[in-house]
Amino acid sequence: MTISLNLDSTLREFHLNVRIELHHTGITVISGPSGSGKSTMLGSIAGFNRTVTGSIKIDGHTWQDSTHSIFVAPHKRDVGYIFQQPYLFPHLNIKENILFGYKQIPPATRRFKPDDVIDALKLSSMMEAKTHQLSGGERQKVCLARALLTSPRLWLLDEPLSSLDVESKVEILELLPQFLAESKLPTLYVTHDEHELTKLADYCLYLNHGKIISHGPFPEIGLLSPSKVKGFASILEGVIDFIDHSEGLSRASFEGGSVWVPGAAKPVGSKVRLRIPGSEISISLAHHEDTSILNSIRCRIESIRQSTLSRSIIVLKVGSQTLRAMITNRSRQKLDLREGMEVFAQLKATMFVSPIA
Amino acid sequence: MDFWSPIYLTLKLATVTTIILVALGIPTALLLSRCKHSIRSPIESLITLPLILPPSVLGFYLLIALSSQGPLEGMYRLFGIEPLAFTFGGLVLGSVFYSLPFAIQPMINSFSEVGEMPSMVGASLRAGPLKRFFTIHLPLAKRGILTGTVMAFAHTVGEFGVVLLIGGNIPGQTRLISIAIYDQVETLNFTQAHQLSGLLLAFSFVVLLAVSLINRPGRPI
Repeated sequence: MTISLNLDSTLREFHLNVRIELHHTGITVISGPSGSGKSTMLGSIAGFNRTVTGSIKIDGHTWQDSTHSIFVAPHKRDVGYIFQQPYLFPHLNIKENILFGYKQIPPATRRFKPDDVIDALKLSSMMEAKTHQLSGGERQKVCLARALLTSPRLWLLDEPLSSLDVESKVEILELLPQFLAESKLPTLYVTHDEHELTKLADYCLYLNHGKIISHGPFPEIGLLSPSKVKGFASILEGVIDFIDHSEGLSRASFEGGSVWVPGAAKPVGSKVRLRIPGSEISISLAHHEDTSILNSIRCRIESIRQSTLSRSIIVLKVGSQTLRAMITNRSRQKLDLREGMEVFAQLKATMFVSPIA
Repeated sequence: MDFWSPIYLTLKLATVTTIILVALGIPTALLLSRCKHSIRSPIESLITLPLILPPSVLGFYLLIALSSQGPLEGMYRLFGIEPLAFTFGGLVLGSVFYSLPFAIQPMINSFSEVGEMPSMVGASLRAGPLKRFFTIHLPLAKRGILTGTVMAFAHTVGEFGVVLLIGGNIPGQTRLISIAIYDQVETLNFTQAHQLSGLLLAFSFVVLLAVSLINRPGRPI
């Protein structure tokens, strides 16, 4: 699947300018602060934004090309669109809602069976219910089933959890990775929530002020916080291999080391992603025992980049994984850090842990 | 004087007017509810005008417009039709103008309340514009459409000033209930005036009751 986007849109003060070609399956998370143009970008792909100019090509099919006055109407673009608000048609019951899109497409193009989808999302008990009898999470599941039954070519999810209560959020976030993977459709997923991003992303695209500021495979690309003050974070993938119940700590191991993380809820063997803010990493030349810092990982300096007058970003390799540390230029000079050096990255055990499916 | 003739004529006029207003009103209301252009306000004002304009003013202008020496004179000659003033056709035209705001305003409100979300969801589920109109817009806005329909009918039944000016008082052709009542009172025939007035009073109450029932919150219709 190749998604080729070249979008331009000016709406009052806001200017969207996105040029990118994405060649992969899996989940691409589009992230960035609110007002950065994430939803506008997604809506444009679905054809909801007529003010946008430029071109949209999906696997060779042109959905929009302003220079040739091509604009495919939204109902002719085969996307599975999930909105922030899980909207169900109130004049139809749940079954009629689920089958609404299924009935619109020619039988020969139907790739999914209603019964399979309904079972997969555990919706069979509520088929005759009225829409107002469902919780937010149940409504969003109905929306997922309804969209999948239109046999889309591509998923477009616009902050699908943002309007849900905490319980529903957890429930949907648990089932989403498997559900999306089983549909075998490439996914564009808009969110500004780091937890969702960390759990779901295979590829990440960061937007700010309507422009792509960074994109690449996740977790290698790391986390760029929506607020610049908080800076960025790295993601390490590991497996829980030991739990110390008496101290409430778990050990996550990975190629080249292990770290202690707070909490003992995840069973041994669970794969996790650890979020490590750049400002929480300090660097020392030797391994120290006389410190309150719990974790010390041996790594190699891959590159050093001065980011501001007073700070530098040190890119570290732990096995094949990447850590980015933010340290002051004074410390960098004091330790005489250079590319290729072996150092110890010290991390507090306050990092955020996210299980992945 | 035939008691049933004005009643029959009034019902016929109200039915024809309502059919025209519903056919015209639904698409207009849908378009206006969607319109973000600044032209929406003047159009809505124009549609609402008959609500506050004295009926005699509207009737007067329509009479001038429809008469054989009016601006439509060329068209009458071209198509070889009789001038519309003092005919049933003229009454229908006048009634459509006069009852327009009553039919269309509830429809605009209803479509606006429905908003754009259902249509966007419908489009994302592959429903084309026509399909969305019949399976989403119409059922979701049905309260407003029903209210507009009932109001258009009722308001046409009750009109007086406009139809008096453009239709006059020709039995079987333009003499409606309201005009018949005026006529009876003028000729001191209070018995028939009572019967017709009572009929309109009961009818008006039933209409308002129906509108209220249609719009009762939480009640499925």
